[in-house]
Amino acid sequence: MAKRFSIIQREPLLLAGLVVVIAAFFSLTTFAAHTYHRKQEQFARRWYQHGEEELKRSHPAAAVADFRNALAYSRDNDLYRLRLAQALMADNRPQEARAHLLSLWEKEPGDGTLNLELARLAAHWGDTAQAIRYYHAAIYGLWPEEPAQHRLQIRFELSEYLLQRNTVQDAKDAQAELVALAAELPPQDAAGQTRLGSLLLQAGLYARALAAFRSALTDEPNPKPALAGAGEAAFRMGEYQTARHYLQPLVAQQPKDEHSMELLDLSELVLKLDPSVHGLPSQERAHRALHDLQRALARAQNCAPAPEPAPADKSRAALVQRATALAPSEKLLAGNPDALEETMDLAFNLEQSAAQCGPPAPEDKALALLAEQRGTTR
Amino acid sequence: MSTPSLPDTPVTDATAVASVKQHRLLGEDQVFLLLSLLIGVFAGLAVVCFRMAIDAAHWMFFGSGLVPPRDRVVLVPGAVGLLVAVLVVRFFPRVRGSGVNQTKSALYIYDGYIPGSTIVGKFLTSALAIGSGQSLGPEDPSLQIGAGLASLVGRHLKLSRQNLRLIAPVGAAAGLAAAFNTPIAAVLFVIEEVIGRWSAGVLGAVVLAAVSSVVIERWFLGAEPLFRIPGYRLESPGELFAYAVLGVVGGLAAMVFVKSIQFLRPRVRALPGWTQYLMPAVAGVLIGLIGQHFPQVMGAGYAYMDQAMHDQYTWEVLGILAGLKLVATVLSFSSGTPGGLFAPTLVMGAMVGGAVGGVERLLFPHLTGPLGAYALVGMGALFAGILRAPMTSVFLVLEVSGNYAIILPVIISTALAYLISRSLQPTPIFDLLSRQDGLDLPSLEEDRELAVLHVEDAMHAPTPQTTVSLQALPSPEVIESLPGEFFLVQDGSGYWGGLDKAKLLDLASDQAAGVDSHPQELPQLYPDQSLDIALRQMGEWPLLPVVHRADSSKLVGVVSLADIIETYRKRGPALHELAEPAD
Repeated sequence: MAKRFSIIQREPLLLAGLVVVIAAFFSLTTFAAHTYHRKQEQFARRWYQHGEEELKRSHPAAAVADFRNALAYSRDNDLYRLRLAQALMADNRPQEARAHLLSLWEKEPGDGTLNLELARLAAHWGDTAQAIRYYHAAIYGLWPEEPAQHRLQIRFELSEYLLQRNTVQDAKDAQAELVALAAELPPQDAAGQTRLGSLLLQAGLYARALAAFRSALTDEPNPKPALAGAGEAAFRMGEYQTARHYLQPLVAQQPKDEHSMELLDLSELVLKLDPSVHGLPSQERAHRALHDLQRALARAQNCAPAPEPAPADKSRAALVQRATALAPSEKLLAGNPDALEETMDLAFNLEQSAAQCGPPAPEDKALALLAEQRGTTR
Repeated sequence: MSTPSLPDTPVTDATAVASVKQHRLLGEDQVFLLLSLLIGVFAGLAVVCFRMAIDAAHWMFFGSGLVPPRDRVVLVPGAVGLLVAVLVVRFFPRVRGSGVNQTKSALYIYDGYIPGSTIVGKFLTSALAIGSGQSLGPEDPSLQIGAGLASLVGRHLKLSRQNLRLIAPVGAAAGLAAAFNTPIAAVLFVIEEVIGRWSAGVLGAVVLAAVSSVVIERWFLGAEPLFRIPGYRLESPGELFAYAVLGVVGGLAAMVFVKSIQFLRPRVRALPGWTQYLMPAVAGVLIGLIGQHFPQVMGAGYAYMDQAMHDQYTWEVLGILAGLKLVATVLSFSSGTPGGLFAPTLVMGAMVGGAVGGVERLLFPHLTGPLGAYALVGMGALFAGILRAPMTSVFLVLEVSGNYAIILPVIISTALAYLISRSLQPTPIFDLLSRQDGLDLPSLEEDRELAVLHVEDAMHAPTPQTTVSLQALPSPEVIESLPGEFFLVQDGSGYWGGLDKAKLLDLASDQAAGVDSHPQELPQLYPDQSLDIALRQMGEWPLLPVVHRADSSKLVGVVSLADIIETYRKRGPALHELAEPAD
């Protein structure tokens, strides 16, 4: 009876015993796992902090090793992986960084930081299309802190990258980015406006550049870059008086700025040579026109003829002959605006025909600028 | 389970057991399934502890950095190697090697018996060895630990011999599933490599155990896949050629690895007995020397696999690492240090894959696949080439990466590596190891490759003298004159029966007397059925009809016992003819 009872009872009892053993083992494992994970977290944090310190000390290679250690203990920690990727980039190992970034990007394709880093990598490899795609994703991506500021900075970075590319399409893309940036950038951000103005200047958007520099000048504590930019923008636009307005105080403050000084000199020369300046008496206009023609004629006449005359030489000779034959007087020019126009045309044509005749003197440069301005207005 | 009320009459053991079988709530099959679930949990917990123990050993020996300190990199593997050798030789002699063959031995030789000391020994020595930098992995030991726990539980529950044999592979599947976090691959591996057959009962138990162990493993160690590779998409079918090349290289690398173990292991074992105390230490020192410059070869190497998948090495470095890992693993394994081959195989695969991918990208810059994808596919290729479990390889790669997009490259590469390895190294590594150990375990790959003989291979055409129709039964005189002793008789509905000459004569007499009688119906065979089925159906019949599947009245042949035996004799090569020598 007892034996039979034990046969029937044994199996459930043994199974119950097994469950109890497993429960005890489970508790033990829970305790061990808790300790294990705590230790892992400690290691991960410690290595991560080491890595950050190494990065601060500009030791990216050491930081890479530290972040790798941190990642070994916390495989799914996206921050550690991101910092590893950034350390790898700082250590000039973009290929290795890219793989980590792509892993992270798979999880968070809308993350601003990741897209920005990937954009930088694509830019590093000259993959413009991909770079623009990632930059745009970064601009419109998620930024947990100061999203507007990040977006502006990325647009700046993208614009700078595109302008560096130096191709027509990239220049057009850069212009589009800068126009968007101009619309987003707060006018009171003087440093931003100065940076924007410089980029607009580089992109050939002079009017917008001038506007940006003007914004910057309203309360910029250090106005020199803005003054230089505004002066150059005005100069490029052919607004020489405006250029002089900005460049004069700048040159007074920093007389060693040769570029600004040259622009100022040229602006003043242009203003001095230009017979069409508003408000000039007709006598003065005639005087300037005649001076400009004589100046251009002298440059053309002094130009040494090539051993075998080219068509340009013949054309220049014809212009010289015509100017010599014309020989207008100041009186004639003062009373006859058409003659004055014809004289200036001749002077500009002569100056242009002498473009190959050695380095131009400042006055020749000024005349060329006037010719260019006249061509643009016509 | 409830306790049924008992009669007062005295009972014998046999009647008691019969009574218990009638009254228990759950049948033995259900108890077996419940047990599988519990064993899965048990094995999962053990494997979690085992993995934590390996890491703890590593921290203790080398600190928390991935790269071991230079002053310890040679000293620690050597010293711990000595300790492990003492433990193995003096206390746990059964824990040598990977654990897969030991589990197969339990199934096929020891009726599912794995001593409890083996579990403890495997746990302890493998954790020390792997933690100290031996180039071995934790998966195969986990498999053996799982199998050992299952065997222990089965013995305590006094399972039947048949179930005790089966419970060890169930535990093995649980151990492997928890070690890799890959339930499907674990189930497939145990079916492919340990049990060798599919049946509903076995599959159910193995799946239950694997799933429950993985649940436990994920509960404690997280649910993320083992590796996360950068995004992969097959841009052009032409890229599959690149992966095919990887399959070829993987197959060759697998062959080199297996041949190296085939060469070195028996020679180390042939050395005098006292050298067994030194071998793990010697292997450890040599690996430490390699590790001074290439620490990536030390230990299981998962962290470095992750780095290989993230483009952290150039193809040249990956090539060197693949070669050094091969050398280190051959040294560790041949020295008799307990530990598994799975992780080193995967590490070698990742390195070979990355190197091949790097070279291909250099030669064909338009290839778009990331190096991580090549590393992952390389893992599958080497796994299939070395361990010769192609289905497991494919699913393993899918599960460890959680990336289904990689499936086509994996299938192509794995298939090629498997075929090349098989043609250059006919004996799979586990069979090789068991033969080196003097065990004659069944080779499941060789079983799979044995040509299946069909009924059509044995049947011969029916002769008019052996077949008669009930509608046109010959006269007794004619029957008397027929040469055969047994006849196939077709009745009016087209079925075939069988009669010997005397009964056929009786039937003819009955028919002449107007008595309606029929011959006994015969089992029917079809030409495409295996000869094994024919043998089972044959019974006492001297001849069986082989009929057309679409028209069972149409006789396409007849088969006799003699035909079957003759066919097996002529066309079925013995297993030993397929196998090559262990060394």
